[in-house]
Amino acid sequence: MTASRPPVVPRSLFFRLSVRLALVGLVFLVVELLVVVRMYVNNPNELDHLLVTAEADRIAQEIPQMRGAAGNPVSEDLQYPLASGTRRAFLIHERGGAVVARFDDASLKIADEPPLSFLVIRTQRESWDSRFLLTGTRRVEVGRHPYWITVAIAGEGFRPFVPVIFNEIRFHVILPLILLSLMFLLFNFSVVRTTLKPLETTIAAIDRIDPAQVSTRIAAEPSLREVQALVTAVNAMLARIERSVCALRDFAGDAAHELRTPLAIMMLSIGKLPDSVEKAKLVADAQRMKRLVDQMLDMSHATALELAPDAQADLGAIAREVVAELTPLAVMRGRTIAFRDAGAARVHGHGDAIGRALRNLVENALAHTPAGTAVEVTTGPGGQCAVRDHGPGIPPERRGDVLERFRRLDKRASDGAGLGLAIVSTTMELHNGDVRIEDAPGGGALMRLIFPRG
Amino acid sequence: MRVLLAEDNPRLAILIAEGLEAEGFVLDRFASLSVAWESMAVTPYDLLLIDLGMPDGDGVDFIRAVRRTGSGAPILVITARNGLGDRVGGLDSGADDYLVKPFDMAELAARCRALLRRPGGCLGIVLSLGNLDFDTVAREVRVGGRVIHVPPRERDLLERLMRRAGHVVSKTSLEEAMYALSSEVTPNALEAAASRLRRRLGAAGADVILHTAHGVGYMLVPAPHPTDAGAEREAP
Repeated sequence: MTASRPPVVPRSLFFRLSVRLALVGLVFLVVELLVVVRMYVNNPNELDHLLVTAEADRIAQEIPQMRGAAGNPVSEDLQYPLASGTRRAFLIHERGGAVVARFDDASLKIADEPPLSFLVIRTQRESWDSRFLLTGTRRVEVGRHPYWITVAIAGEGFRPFVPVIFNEIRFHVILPLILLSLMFLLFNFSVVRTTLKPLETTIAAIDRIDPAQVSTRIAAEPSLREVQALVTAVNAMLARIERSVCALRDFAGDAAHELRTPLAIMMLSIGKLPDSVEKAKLVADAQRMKRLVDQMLDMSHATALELAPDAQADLGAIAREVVAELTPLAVMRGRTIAFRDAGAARVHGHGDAIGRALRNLVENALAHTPAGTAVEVTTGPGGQCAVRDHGPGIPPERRGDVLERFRRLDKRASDGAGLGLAIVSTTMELHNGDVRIEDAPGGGALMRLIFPRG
Repeated sequence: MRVLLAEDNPRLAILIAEGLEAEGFVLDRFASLSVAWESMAVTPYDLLLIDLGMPDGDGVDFIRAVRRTGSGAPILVITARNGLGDRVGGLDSGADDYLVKPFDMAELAARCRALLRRPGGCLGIVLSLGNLDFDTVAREVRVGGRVIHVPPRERDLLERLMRRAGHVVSKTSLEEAMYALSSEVTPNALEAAASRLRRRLGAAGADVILHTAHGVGYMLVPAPHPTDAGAEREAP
């Protein structure tokens, strides 16, 4: 169902959190701007003061040129006022009251009245309706010499103050806020990253869970409640899976008891019958049912099995036991089983499960090897085990089939339920191993169980 | 031979009892472990047959309790479980042998006799297989009633094989039997002894076969009768 849709690349939690925090920062910035603008608008005296100071600063910058130059010392730039739509005049005194420079607007003139030498700052406003006249003096230091700049600005309305407000905002709001926001963002990144770290660790831990080991649990990260909730939920799920796997295994045990006891009754009852051809047939049928129950239980064991991480199995010891167990049956049927230990063969595996698989493999070989021949079981060197018979072998095109359930090459063969090789295959899957079916040199089938290294 | 049978399935209990009584045993049947336990206090049994899955408790715990009383009577466990783990658990608890359901009467009777023949068991005097007899007290080997000479080591080997007749006895176990007292073990000693024993039995006309389970051990089985082979072929 997802195949038809274009693939959706999910955004990372990290990205989403970072973007949202950055947006919050932006909103703060805007709010702060509005607050600052409103503050200035409501406080005209402060604006007057700022406008005079700004004009004085601008003029002070040109004092060195004015002192060097002759004639009209006022530069082209200074002839225009800072605030458009205003008229402005200025007058510069030095220590002792001498005039350094003066600039008079056509209609605005400042009286030449040297300021008091202790005066540092003065601003004065006169208003008529919306019109205003600002006069002010600022003491400035240029080249270690004090100067007094007196400025007069005449204008109307609020517009003349816009550049001042803009300047104020630029230097006292935007620059610090940008710096603060950058720090805030960096802090966000690192906080979000470190906060999400336990989540990533937990995800990695969940990823590492081996599906074959239902008893595995994730170690809880105690520092974060949310992560702990995730861990608890995953562990609860694992517990439910484990319970159902155990229920399946218990069911196998129950089925064993339920089926085996009536089967035992049946076999003992048949044994009491007088010898006849019919009895021999019943005995054979009961034997087949016994084998079927065995195989079904082996199969359910193999399916419900879980492999402990530290489980070790010695293929040689397992094979010896299986050979010892099956030899009496083989000898009764005129076959033999030979075991060869070709080197140490310790593997990571479930001993009982490998034993059941190998027993089924050897029983299968015994069913196919002709009377008077031997089934040869070899273990090692390394994680491998081979069972060879002297029967007709398995044609290459049928080799995949025979590992499936209820498949028999020869439908007339009466022995077993056709589960034997499926048990082998299921068990080897659990061990991440491999079943290989080959032709033995000199004829017969060669079944090899290959276990992974380590 | 008085045998205790703890089995909760009445039909199976009756069939086992009838089968073993036909073989000359005397059976007391119990459908619960608690009643079996009470009976054990007053009756000395020569052999205990215990079903592990009883309604009033686990057979393994019962066997442990029996062993704690100091009783040495052989115990044969009958069970529907067939896991190797169950088998080891059952034997660790003090059981002597293990029989998985379903089984036929011949198998059960053979196991019971084998257990009673063990040292400490009641049938410990003469081991028999086909026309071969082994007198464990006189240390004599007889074929068809005639005493034949068997050197001590081969005799120990034969005894171990006859006690587990019909089963593969591991090389390790056989080597232990042969070299219980001396320490000189050569790699081929067991093979050589087994091969001499096989020739000796063959020359004396014993109708048993000493089968070599290559790489694992040896197994002593009765020589197949021609009629048995016929029955085997007849099976569909």
